[in-house]
Amino acid sequence: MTVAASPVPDYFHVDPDTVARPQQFYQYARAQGPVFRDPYTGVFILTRYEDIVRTSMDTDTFSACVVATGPFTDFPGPIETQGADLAADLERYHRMGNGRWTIPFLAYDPPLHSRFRKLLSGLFTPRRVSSLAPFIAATCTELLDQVIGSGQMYYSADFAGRLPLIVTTHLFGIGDDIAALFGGARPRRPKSGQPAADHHYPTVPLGHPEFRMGDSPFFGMVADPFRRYIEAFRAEPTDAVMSKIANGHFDDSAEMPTVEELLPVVTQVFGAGTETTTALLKSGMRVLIENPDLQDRLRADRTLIPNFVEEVLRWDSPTKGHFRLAKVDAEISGVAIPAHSMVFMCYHAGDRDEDRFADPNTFDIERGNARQHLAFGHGPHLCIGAHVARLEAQGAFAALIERMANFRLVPGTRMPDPIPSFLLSELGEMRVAFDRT
Amino acid sequence: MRMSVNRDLCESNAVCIGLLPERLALNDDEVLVVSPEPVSPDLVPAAEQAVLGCPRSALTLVVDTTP
Repeated sequence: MTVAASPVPDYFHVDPDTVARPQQFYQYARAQGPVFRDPYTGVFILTRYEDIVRTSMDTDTFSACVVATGPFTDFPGPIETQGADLAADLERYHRMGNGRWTIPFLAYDPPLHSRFRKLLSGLFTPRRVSSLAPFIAATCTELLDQVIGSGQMYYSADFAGRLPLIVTTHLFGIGDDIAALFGGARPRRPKSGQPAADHHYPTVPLGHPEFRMGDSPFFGMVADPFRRYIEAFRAEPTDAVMSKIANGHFDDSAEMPTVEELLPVVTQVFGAGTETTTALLKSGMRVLIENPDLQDRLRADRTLIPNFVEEVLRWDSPTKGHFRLAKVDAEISGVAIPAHSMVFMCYHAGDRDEDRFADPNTFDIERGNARQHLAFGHGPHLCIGAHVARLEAQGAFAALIERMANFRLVPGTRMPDPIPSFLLSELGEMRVAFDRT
Repeated sequence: MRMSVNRDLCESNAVCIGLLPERLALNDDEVLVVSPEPVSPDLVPAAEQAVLGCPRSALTLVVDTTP
């Protein structure tokens, strides 16, 4: 009797089973060889840590222009030429596009990318960011004060969805008007009797095959307010991070970006700092709920919190992976990558590479090299907000562990499904019960 | 062996600081300070990670031939 082979999971079309259990797909892909060509989209999937690192660094061969949309990218014009000519096409499209067809800044290649990166990078160093620690602690206190008496919370609406938004607007030095655009000042709960559907996400999030950058409400919502901030800070500079960005010059020269060039970059950096950090806080809470012994260990020894955060980043990073476009014929681990092919650098798979992480499918709060994870990417596009994210997560879990114990799901509720995305790893809303310490 | 940084490339992302705090730090002006102490054999793996981890490829691990 012959048994039909199960079909290959359709990862990029976000079938619910693969979204809920992505590690099964990554293990399948890894078992096929160092580079697995997805049969549905033709994307070459990288599951090896070393290949992801090397590809991230090789900006001569691999363009970031398709970073978040991969095979679903709507290029604004033809991409027919190769190599240096392709680079010129892309740079022109970025200047035209202003966030319409791909994610600004994250999708740029050198030299355009380097010009903006240099303008920003001095503003997010560990020292600058470390001054945020007291504000993060105070914000956690305020947010948890509002729920501590009730013994339960809507984790995203009451805490994880709010903290990064409040911290990022504070870091940027912009006002409550921006946070208020996202309901940041107040929790938004579902009406009683309705399922705890997450208010936070559109039905078609980033990383869904139908997502179109031009339709994203986020950029539209902040465009005018951010434009006004940039113009106001140029007229009257302050010490705020956003003011320094607004007044930054390219390459320490006299040349400044135009407001319209700067706007999408600022928007992307602001947005990147909110959703991904929320996802991280949720991943960490899930680990705590599923491993109650860890809660006790962290409470007994707070010095374990930073490495707990690193191991959560390795275990379930908010970004599952990023795409690259081969500008020319290339080769990865002996596999030919024809010019204009898409490559998916799967961070989730790389972070379970046993050549890099011993016993990778075990969550180990004391793992010595947890910090080598790929959650923040690698190479020139390495997350510029990594220090902020770490500080927020460390502060959040310290506050949670200090004030609450016995984290568990509210009886009658279940662990939410992840959102339907091949890019983001984020759970829907979870209702968390706790005891007071 | 010792760490060396290309100042034209370094932008103080500080990825390296987390990987090799024994030899790398940011000073008050957020400029990378490389300790003049040699990188001992036990630190070489971490140093190699720092070199690889730098998003700007600004670091190198050099063999110090001075006596």
